[in-house]
Amino acid sequence: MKSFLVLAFVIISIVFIQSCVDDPIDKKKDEITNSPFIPIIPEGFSSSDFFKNIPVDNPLTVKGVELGRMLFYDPILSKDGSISCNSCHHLNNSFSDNKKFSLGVNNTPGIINAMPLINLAWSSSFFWDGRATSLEQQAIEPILSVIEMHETSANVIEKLKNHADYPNKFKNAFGDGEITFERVTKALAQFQRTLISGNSRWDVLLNAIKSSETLDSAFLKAGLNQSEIAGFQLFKTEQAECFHCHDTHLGTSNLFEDNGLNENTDGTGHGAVTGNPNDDGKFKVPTLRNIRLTAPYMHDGRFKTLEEVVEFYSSDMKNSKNLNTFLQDDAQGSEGGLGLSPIQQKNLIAFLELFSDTTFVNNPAYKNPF
Amino acid sequence: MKKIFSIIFASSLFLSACKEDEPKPEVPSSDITFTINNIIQGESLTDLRKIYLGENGEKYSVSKFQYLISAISFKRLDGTILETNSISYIDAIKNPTNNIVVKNIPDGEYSEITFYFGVDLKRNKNGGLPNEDIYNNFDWPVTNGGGYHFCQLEGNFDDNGTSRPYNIHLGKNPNQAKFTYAETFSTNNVFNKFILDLNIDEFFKGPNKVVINKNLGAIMENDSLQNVFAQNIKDIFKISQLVE
Repeated sequence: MKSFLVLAFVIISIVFIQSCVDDPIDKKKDEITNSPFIPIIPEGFSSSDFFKNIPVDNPLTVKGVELGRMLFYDPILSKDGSISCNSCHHLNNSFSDNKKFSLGVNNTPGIINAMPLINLAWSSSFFWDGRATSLEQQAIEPILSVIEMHETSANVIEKLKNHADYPNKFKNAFGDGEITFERVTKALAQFQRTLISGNSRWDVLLNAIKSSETLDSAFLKAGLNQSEIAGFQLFKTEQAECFHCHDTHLGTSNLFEDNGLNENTDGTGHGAVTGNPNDDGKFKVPTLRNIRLTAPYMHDGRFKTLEEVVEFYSSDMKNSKNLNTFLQDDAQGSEGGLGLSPIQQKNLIAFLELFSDTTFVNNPAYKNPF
Repeated sequence: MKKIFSIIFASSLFLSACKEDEPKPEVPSSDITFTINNIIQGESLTDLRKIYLGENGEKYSVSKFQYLISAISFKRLDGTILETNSISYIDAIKNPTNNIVVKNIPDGEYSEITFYFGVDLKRNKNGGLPNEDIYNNFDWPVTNGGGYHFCQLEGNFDDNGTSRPYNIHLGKNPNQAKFTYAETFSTNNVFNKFILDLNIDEFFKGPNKVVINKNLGAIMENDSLQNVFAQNIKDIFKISQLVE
C-alpha cells in the first residue's frame, strides 16, 4: 500500500509538473511523438550550456537520435552510394579522419582537414571557419558539396522515400512518414549532439581539483606521474600559454584564434565568413580531447604528430596580423616561438595524453548500426 | 487515509505552482538597471582601429576588453544590507553599452550600492561561479591561485615601429575592486537607473602611472604588476543615478 501511495504521488506530481511547463516538445506534438532522449551530462560539464544550444524545433528524441545514427553511417546520402559521414569521421579517430584531406565521391580530395565530432552540443559554431551556427545547418553542406557527397537534396529525399526502412524510421522520429531534407539534417544533428566525451583523466583531474584541498592531493587522486604534473603546470603557465584556449573539460574555448600558422592570412579563416579583417587567419580552436587520436593536426592537416605540433609552437610560429596577442611576443622573439626545452615538450605531450577517452571511441551507441 | 490527504495536498502544491500569473510578492519590488559605458580618452570604446596615446605618448590600440561585475548589493537606511549573488560578463568591444538588470529589489529607501569589478572574494575560487562556459573560459590558473579573471584588456602598442602586444589580465584575491555609490535613493518608482562610466584610462594613469611597454605582454604571474593595476582600477567607475 505504501509503495502504491508513493507511486501515485509521483505520477500525480509528474502530470502536474508536465502540464505547466511551456514545453516546446508539446507545441510540436504533431511532429514529435517518441520519447525524449535524456543525455548523460558528465560530472563537471555544464548542463545549461548543453541544452542552450538545442533548437526548440529539434529536441533530442530516442527515435530521432536512432535515425540520425543510421543516416550518419549510411552511404545513401552520397551521390553514388560510396561514402557516408563516417567515411571522413571515424569513431576510432574520435570521429575525425587520419587523412590530411578526406576523399569525397570519386576520390575527390577535400580542401580542409575533417574536424573531430566530440562534445559538439556545447558549441554554437561549426566548421573550422565557423560558417555554420547550428549542427542542423552544418549537416547540409557535406551532402551537397561537390567535393564531398555531391548529392542533391531532391535525390536524398527520393532515395530515402524508396527505401524499405527509412519511411518508417522518419515516422517514428517525427510523427509522420514525411521525409524532408530538413528532417535529414535534424536527425543528423540529434545524433551528433549525443557524441559526448567526459571520461578522461583530464576530467578526473579537474573534478579532483574542485574537491581537493591541495593541488598535490588532486594530482594523487587523478594518478598523475611527475612528467604529467610538469606538463600540466606548463600548460597553465604564460610561457606555454595553452590554457587561455584549451582549458575546461571541453579542452577548447570554442572561440576563433590565429595561432601563427601563416604569415599572410588575408581573407582566410573566420574572416572569410564575417568579412571582418580582424578575423582573418582565425580558426576554431579544436578540442584537445582525444588529441592523440585526431592526427593530422590543424585546419590544413599540416602536422602528422603531436610532437610536430609542439615543436611548431616552440619554434616556428609566424607573426601574422591577427596572431593571438599572447603568442605575438614569442613569434617575434629570437626563438620563433615559446622556446620550450626538449624536456618541457616531452612533459607537455605526456600531459596531453590525459585528454584520451577510450570509453568514447568504444561506446556502442556511437558505432555503426548496420 | 492521512497519507492520501498528504498526496492530494502535495499534488495541489504542484498545481498551484502552474498558474501563469505568479503570485505577487508581499513587498512591492522593482528592477534596478545599471548601464555601463566603456570610455577611453573621452570617447566610447568602439573603434578597434583607433590609435590612442598613452601616458608616455606611446601609441596603442584596444582589441579586447572583457570583465566581470559581481555582487551588486544594496544598503538599507537601517544599515542592513541586501546582498545579491549577481554576476555579469561584459564584452565591451561587442557591446559598448551594457545593461545589468538586478531584479526584484524591494521598494524602499537605500543609502548605498556596492559592487565588485571582478569576482567578489567569497566566490573567487575554482568552481565559485555558475558552471557555464562563459565563466569557465575566464578561469584563472589554479597553479597561480585559482579563481577567475577579473578582466582581460588586450591590444597592441607601437614599440619603435614594431607592433607589440599588451595583455592586462587581472585576477587573484584581493585584487578585485569594490565600488560604492553612497547617495540615498528610493526605489519606489519605476525609474531606477544608474550609470556606470568605466574610464579605461584609469588602468594607466593613476595612482600609478603605467607606460604601455613590452613588460605588459604577460602579467598574470607578475604579482607586483597585478598589485599596480589593482590600485589603478579602484577609480575606474564613476557612478551616478539617471534622473528622469
